[in-house]
Amino acid sequence: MTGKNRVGEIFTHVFLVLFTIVILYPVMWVVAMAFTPQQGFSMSLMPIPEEPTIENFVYVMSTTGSDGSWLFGRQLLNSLVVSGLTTVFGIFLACTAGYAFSRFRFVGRQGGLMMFLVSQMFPGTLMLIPLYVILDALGLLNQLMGLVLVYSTSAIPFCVWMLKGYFDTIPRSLEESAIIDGASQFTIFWKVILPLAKPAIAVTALFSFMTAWNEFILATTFMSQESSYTLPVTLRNYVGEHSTYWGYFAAGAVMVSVPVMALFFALQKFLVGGLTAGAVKG
Amino acid sequence: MADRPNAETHMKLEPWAWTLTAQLAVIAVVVTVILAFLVAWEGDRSEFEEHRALFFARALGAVSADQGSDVSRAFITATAAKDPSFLSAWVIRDGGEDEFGISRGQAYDASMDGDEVGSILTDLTESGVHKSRSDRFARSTSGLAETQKPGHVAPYFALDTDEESGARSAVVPVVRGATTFGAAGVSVAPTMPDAPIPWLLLLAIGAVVGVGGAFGLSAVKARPELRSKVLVGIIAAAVLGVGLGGWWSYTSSYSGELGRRVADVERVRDAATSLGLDAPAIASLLQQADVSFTGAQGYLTGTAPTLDDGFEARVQATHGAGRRVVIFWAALVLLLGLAIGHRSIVGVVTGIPEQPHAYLYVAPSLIGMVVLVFVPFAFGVGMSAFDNDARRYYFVGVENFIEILTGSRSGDVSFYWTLFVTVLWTGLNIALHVSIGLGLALLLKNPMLRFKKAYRVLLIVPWAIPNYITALIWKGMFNKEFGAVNLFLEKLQHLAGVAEPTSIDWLGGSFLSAFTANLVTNTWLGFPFMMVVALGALQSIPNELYEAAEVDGASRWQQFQTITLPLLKPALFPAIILGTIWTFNMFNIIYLVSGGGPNNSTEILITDAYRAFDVLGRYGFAAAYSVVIFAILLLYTMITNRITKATEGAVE
Repeated sequence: MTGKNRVGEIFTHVFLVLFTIVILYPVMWVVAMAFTPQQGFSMSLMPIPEEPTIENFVYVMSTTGSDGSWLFGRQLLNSLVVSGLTTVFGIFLACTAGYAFSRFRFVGRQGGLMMFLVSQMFPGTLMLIPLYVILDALGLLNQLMGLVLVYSTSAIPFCVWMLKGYFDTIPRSLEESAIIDGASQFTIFWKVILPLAKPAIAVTALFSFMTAWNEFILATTFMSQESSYTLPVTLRNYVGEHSTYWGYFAAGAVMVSVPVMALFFALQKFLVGGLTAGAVKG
Repeated sequence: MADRPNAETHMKLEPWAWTLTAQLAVIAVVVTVILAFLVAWEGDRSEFEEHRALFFARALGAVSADQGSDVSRAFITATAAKDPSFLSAWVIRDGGEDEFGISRGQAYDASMDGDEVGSILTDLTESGVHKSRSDRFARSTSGLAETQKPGHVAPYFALDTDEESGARSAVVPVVRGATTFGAAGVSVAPTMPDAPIPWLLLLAIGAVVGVGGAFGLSAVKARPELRSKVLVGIIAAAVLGVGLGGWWSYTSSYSGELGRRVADVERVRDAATSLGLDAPAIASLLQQADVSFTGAQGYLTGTAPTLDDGFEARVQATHGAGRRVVIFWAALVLLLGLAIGHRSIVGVVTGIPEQPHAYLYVAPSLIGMVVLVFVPFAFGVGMSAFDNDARRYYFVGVENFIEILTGSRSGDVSFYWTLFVTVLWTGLNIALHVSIGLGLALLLKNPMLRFKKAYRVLLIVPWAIPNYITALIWKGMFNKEFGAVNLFLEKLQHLAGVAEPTSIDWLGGSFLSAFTANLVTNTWLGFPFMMVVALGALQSIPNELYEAAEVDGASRWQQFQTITLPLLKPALFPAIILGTIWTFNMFNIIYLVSGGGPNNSTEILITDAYRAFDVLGRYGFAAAYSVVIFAILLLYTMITNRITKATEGAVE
């Protein structure tokens, strides 16, 4: 290694370390706020609480409803159920559709793909009332299932495109040999294609989960009782128009972010391959 | 080409027979659905009847809140006297001494029998608080108090339908000041009964039209020159029929209901006058009773009251009218779909037997998308032709669009300023996301670099954090007094020797500062996605290319220009287009960080549309605004797609 390269690498490291610090600062700041007792900001620039306390966490976790039930537990359960089901639905819907778009040449295929892309352009403000009316008509208003269905369909267009691209990179010869072995269409999909597409499926799962875990506007609109809120709704209300409980918000933010970040980091090694395999096939 | 592992499932039927059957089915289904819509529209009175009951219950509640039991009793008698549809009315109040009611016919109340009311009363008097066995009743009595809590909206009335008689009952709380101390209930018999939908007749008509249309279309096969004429004929006949039917149905049912409502309002007013209530008391009574009847109220007084019943109530109010809008427009959208997509629908239907698996795999997500994405979209487009005051909807055609595009909304930022801000916002964001993401990816690509995995993991942290949390964190960071950004700037000024450091009011100060705050937040949040996409694309570029270039003596910059960029395009273009669409509609950041301020100057189109929806309560206008946003995005995508051919490779 030449000396010039060494210097270059040191500069790269200095730059990357500084950049990473800038990027991580807001995160450290909110963590510090979560452990700071008062409901305001700390006046110090250093994101380290002077007298660390867990009282914010205790408060947020012990909120109860008007009937004395354990509200935080209930809302955590709601969030888990909604996100979990959305993930399952999202994977099922995106995998089947992505497979069909990748492997079959059928009438309406191009139109269908374009439809999925176009649906990304529908402004949310256009959909609120119609979705409310439709969920009401289906009897799914104020039901977790209603949220699950809406979230699943809002996450699939992107996932279908991504999965289709990934399926495209899987060689067809694998399926052809499976056909010769007498495998049925479904067996090929289930036993040959899906196992090979694990990275893209992992990314689909991640996106579906995050869609449901992070959403609050639809949840605020469709859920009328505190006991059926998901966590983001409560969290957003801590820093609403009438109240600013920054300490509670920070504690809640930390608790809400930790699971999704854990999932993100568990699956992040798939991100690079899963996201771009289809697009760079050449 | 076609990949059909199970060719034996191909059904044995002549192609022309399939085409004809499919055409027939499509036309028959469309015609039947449209007719069913129109009939259902005409036939469904359920909401109207419910609101009659609610109206009387509210009037009764308002009277008994202010007056003694004698006046309330007289009011019930006076209101009910001339109206045969009035079944029963009751009021119960704290203390239990004021229980009274009248009933006509067998039911004391369509929703509760006498025992039930009695036990509610017992609960009420014994506990002293508004606790009740009946969940509905409890909600109706406690509702008003609970609506006061920010962020929590509870129902403030209960509605019930007796399945047998069709009678509608409404229960409302009796409130004085902030105290709820009783409940009032009214049951009315339906005055305009629902008409059952004659499905058989509709199917028959649909089938006749379907057969006729399909044979017309297949006759075209013999004489292709008539094709366009036959198509135009079918579509024109259908449009005319639906248009006339819709117009007739809309005007007749709406004016019928309006007349009935006005009669109800007048009856209550007469009853109140006969009891000797003074004019302000009557006005206030009507206003309280008329919460969901602003149409009739406005019709009588010329001034519809301004209402703020919270978000849910307003969406509730949209519900009934919304159904009308959807019926009117679903019919038109269906026809439009038939006109544009007739051949592709037939193509898909005829394609099913050839590729059964393909459609089987697509069906679940397609059904989901149609029901929960495309139908709401069509509904929303339909709403854009309507305007509303609280509950009443009226058809305004393209007036909403004219109002948006001519910027004639009073007291607001011009549409074109908001459009400019949106374009600036999207352009700057994408430029920053791509350049930062690509730059980092190029740094991290270096195989000799140590700790690159650690860097990569740490640098995608912003992506992993929910974006509303990100937005709120940065809102705090940009806070004028305590925000870290200002603290940092003050430190810098101290170090530079400035005696009195100035702090910037980021979010409320000026357009530039608030816009910068939004931009910083979204850049922080958005670059990791581009970085990951670029990393993936870079990994797929074979190293030999660079080695060969180095042998040829190409500089780093030349290598970047001739190898890296061209090979990144297939991955970057779709990501950029998608990123543009997402950023263009990036609601959370603007809404939560600057909130559009100061003076709505940093609103982007989507948040401005939401403001029309949430603050102004103009749903039709917000829908029209959203349609404009969609049109802009569609145009953008079509143009860039044509230039970059970004999706071409993927669709082929």
